[in-house]
Amino acid sequence: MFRTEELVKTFGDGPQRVEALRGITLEVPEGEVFGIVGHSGAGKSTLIRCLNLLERPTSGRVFLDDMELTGLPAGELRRRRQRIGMIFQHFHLLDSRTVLDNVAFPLEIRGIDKARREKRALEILEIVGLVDRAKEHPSRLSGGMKQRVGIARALAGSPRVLLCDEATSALDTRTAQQILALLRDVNEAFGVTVVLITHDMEVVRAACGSAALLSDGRIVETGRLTDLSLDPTSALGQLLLPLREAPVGPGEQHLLLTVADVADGSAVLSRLARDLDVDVTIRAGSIERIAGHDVGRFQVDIAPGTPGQGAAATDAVVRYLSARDVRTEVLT
Amino acid sequence: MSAAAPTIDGSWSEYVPMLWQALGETIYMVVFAALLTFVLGLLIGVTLFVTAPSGIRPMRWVNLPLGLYVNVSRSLPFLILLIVLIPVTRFIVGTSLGATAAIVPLTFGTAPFFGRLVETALREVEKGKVEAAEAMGATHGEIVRKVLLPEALPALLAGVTLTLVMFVDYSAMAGAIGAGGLGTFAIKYGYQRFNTELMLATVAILVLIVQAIQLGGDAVVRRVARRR
Repeated sequence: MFRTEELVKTFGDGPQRVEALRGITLEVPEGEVFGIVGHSGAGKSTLIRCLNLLERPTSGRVFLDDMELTGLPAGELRRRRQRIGMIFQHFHLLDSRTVLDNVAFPLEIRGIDKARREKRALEILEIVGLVDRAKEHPSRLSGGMKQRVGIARALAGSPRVLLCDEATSALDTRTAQQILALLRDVNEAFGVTVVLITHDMEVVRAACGSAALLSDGRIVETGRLTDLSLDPTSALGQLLLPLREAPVGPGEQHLLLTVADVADGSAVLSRLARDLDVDVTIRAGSIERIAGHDVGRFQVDIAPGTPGQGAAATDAVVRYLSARDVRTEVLT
Repeated sequence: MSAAAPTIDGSWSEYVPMLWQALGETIYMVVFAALLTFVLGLLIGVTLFVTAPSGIRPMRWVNLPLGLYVNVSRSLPFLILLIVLIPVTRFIVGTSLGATAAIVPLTFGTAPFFGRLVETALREVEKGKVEAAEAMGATHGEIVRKVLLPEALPALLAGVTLTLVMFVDYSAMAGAIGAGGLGTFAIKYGYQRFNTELMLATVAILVLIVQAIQLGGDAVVRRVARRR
């Protein structure tokens, strides 16, 4: 799918020079919902806009299916762009057109005749659930509906990939979740690869299969969410499963546990307590639904179950948990 | 003025046909100059916007001279422009007198102004809409025709109204140097013959014309705005 090599983008000159991207090499997996995560100012918006060359990188190359976009002449690039859908934080629908004509717009550009493009637009509006508003103007619609129209417009040209530039940031939580569900449906039903940028981990958890963390113009980490969330050393994993700061005092054993699915019925903590005769105190914890699994991460204190008896050795506990698929780190 | 001039102490009714003729000339000047101005100004405005450094097709060597032309012609007072353009008018129309001749300075005097109004209206269009069209693979021409102009339509129509009112004003001014129309009429028969009533009648007609343009323009803008 999309691939970038050493993308660099700088804005301005002299003392005002800003390096937005400092050498991004990235591959977006085909058929995935791929999240690019970062704080505002990390360069994620510049990065996604470099993918369809709305922003020209200062140096570096962008490929779409092994075709180098950065090397294409203007006319050829325009034809390629017709197969890349894009939606925006503020929708950018045309107020001068009805919903139907907005959705038909990319087909109009492609020179498809009126009857056919309207038929196609109605089909897509059916999918996003707005067919009854086809004749209205966008100004009459709510934010969530406008984004649905935006998605319909982006899909009208049957793109293989959909770029989402903070697509849910201007929407309230519930509407944002509905839009994310729609993006997931589109991904599953039509196999459209989705690239979305966001600062909100909730968006990543709800929609993405894999993600990249962008910080200060560089990729910090990239991978599948299931792998990242299970890895306690992963920066993205820590953002996915945030733990509050809990003290690590002397005299007890402190462990950081990551459970792949807390809902799998293995009751691993109570069994640990029983089998090794230890007391388990949860000091901090986080359970999030990530890529369809309820992943849990806990910071626990382990103490001897029977006072006076020696504590079970730390490595016995670690061995016990590891044998039951619990990623265990000893905290000191 | 082709109608026979009334005697100095002629009665009101003698002036009425001439007043009608003057009104006709004014409308003729305004309509034709306006048509030319709107075409020319639209071209100027779109070109200024598109070729600006931040535009969709930056072209310094087009933008700078065009911007300079617009600024120079806008800094000339219209009365001066009228006189400066007399040779040009003679060249184009064959004479510098009469309503047809007046169309030349009216167009040259107003097209740059309308061009700026167009440019400003286009700048008000959300940049993201242009970007969305670019992301879809639209050409520059399509972006102008299908995005910029339709999205800016209410502002463009407000600019048309403003410019039409200016035409009435300028055409009266052109009357002072022999363009015909209500301006010439007011000066010849109202001012120079100390006929205050005629003067007032002309002013009243001008006020009515301007009112009609403004109200009509506002109504059109409202209608367009309601349909979006």
